[in-house]
Amino acid sequence: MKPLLEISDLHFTYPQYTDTDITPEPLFRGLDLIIGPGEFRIVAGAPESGKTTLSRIVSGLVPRYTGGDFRGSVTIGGTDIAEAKPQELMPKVGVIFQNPDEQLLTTRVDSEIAFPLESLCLPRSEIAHRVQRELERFELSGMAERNPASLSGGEKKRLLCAVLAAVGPPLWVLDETLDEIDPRWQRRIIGHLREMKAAVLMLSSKYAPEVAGLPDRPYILAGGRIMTSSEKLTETAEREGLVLRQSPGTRVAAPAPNGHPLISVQDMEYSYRDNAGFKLAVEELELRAGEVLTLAGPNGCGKTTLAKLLCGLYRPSRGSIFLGPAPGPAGKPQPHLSTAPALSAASGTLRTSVAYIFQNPDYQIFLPTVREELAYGLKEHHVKSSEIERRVTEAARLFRLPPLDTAPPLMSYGSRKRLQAAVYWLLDRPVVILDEADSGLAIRDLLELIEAFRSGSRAILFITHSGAFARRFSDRIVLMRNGRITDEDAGVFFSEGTSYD
Amino acid sequence: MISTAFRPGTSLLHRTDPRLKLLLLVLWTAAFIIPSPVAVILRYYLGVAVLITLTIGAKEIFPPLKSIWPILLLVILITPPFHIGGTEYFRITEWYRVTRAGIEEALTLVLRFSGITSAFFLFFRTTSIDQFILSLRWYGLPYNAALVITIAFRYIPSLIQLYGNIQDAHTLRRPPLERKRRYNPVRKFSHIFPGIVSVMIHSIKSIPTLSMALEIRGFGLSGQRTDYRPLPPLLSRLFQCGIALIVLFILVLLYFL
Repeated sequence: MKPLLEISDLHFTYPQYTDTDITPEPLFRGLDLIIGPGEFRIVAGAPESGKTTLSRIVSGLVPRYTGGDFRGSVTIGGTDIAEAKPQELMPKVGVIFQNPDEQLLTTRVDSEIAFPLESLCLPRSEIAHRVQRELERFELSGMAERNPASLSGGEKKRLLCAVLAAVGPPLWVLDETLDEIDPRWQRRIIGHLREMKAAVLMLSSKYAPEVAGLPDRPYILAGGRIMTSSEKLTETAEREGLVLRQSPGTRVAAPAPNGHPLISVQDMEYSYRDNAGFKLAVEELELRAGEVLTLAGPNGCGKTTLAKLLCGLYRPSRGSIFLGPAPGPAGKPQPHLSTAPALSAASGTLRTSVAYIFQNPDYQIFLPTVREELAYGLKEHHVKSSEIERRVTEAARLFRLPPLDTAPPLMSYGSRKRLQAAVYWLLDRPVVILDEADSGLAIRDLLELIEAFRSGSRAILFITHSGAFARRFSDRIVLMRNGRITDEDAGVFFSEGTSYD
Repeated sequence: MISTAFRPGTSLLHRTDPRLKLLLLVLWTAAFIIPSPVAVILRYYLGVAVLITLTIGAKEIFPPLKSIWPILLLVILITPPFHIGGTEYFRITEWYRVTRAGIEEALTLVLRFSGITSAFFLFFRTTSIDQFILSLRWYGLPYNAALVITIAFRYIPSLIQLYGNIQDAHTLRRPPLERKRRYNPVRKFSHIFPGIVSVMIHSIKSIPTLSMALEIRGFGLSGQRTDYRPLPPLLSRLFQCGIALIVLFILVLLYFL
């Protein structure tokens, strides 16, 4: 069968940034990859292995936008990408970026789907037909008039899938697209792709030997090449930290939590002014010292909203959040839970007691070097310079950060996420919320991150769509649907997903 | 913000052709800009306020004013000493004198700003961005220019939302005791700065990715594009001209009343 995508002997090195002494290392050193029509190929790789660059090379964006030393050949359906503009490649290859916000262009969901079809000069009736078809396929019909910026992370990725499905290129390049998508939709998206008979190059930070019944094992991107030999795959995946296995020195089994409640929720409600269809209502929830609580649920069910309430960024419209145990019915603290007086927490108190690690690390990174970024919070806390230097060095080692003089914007997404976590680790808050921290991180990074935060006096709220991570790291799993905590079996919810579990 | 101002509805203005509304918006804005006595500008402003009340409700008079109140306050404070004439009401220093001419000028500017903002608010409250862009293109605006406007509408609110997210993220990094300290404007300003730097980093980083996103969606593939969403059927040109003439007549009437 004639290959659809053929990459042969690809060498690529980014150009040296001006005003820096950093000499870039070659990213690809003779990379080869062949994907046939309709083939579903997953390529797993650690952060900084070049997944995003590979996706952008295949779609004609790199080196066009970045410059750099590019050698080798990449052809799609016989077209050499070096001779075609990205616009001209649109009917042949579609790409979904890792960060969906970077790719949304319009102010309405249906307009977003229509945009590339308008570029192709399709007649209005055909555009309307395809928009309607993809809105229905990806269950976005009820959101057709909404601003894409107002959708949840998973909904945005579904919308981007709908955009590609409307164009219908024979090759889809998905950069960590299943991250942030709930298990049911992970499986459905894979199903839709197979139904459309599209060839898929899916880039992922996690290695799972079998994914949603796909016949082929994932390849691994490491050392500038793609490993395809089946004997070495598992070994390489373990070495790169892409599989969920216990590594020496890493404690993953946690003792059963019996600590006192650090934060409690009682009869809390919250609604958005501009989204009347959604209401969060949590009757009761406790986070205890020493425990890791996983919060799971479909996209848009309110997990991030609950997290933002817990850290004081949103104010409940009804009910309370307590630092410590919630008071009993008579307003008295429940004695068997209480080690500290119940305190209905003001937003300011919550903000300074809870560490909330945002889905997007760039919100929290703004200083020119890793050192300054790590030291900022400690300086604000008036810690002595010598102590700051010691703790910054320790954090950099623990979170495997690059040299302290590195500029964060030049670091990979995964490294920036580790930097963000290190910033909060230094602040030493009693409650830590990891909002989809597994997105864009290798499994080893995630393991190390959770272990760094885990302690007998701290509680961790871990928001994830991965049942494997939930079972591995957490003491309890709580499932949310439509803004409420349900009694449903989380195992059933996760089993709807792909075999990343 | 403009892109989030639109509320679907069935009012007369919602049902009016966006091209006609755009024409009337230009007329009304011109009326505010033409040098006129304060009483005339007040009538124009009241005209807009009545129109808001009749179409989308009286409570919608206030949101546009709320969005520009710092500018209005600044105008009220700064304008009087630069326009001296007529009765002097009071003076604070030798150069800061408040006279009748100063108050009239300040009122004129306040009404002008309020009127233009309210007129635009009413337009965007009753017209979706898509309809607005299509109307501009109907009047001959090239597609590329229309796209620039669309992207501006997409990104300006996003930047504001981004600034909010970044400020939230930074707030969570600050020390516990800070909120108990006395209010310190210098310190407060110093906290705004990191947020602005982060927004700038994001914005600069988003330039190439936005450009990439446009190209992989086929922007620039050819000089032609089709439109997914049509404008409503064109009312007869005679009817549109008639409505525009009536509005012009009302404006002239308000001027000479």
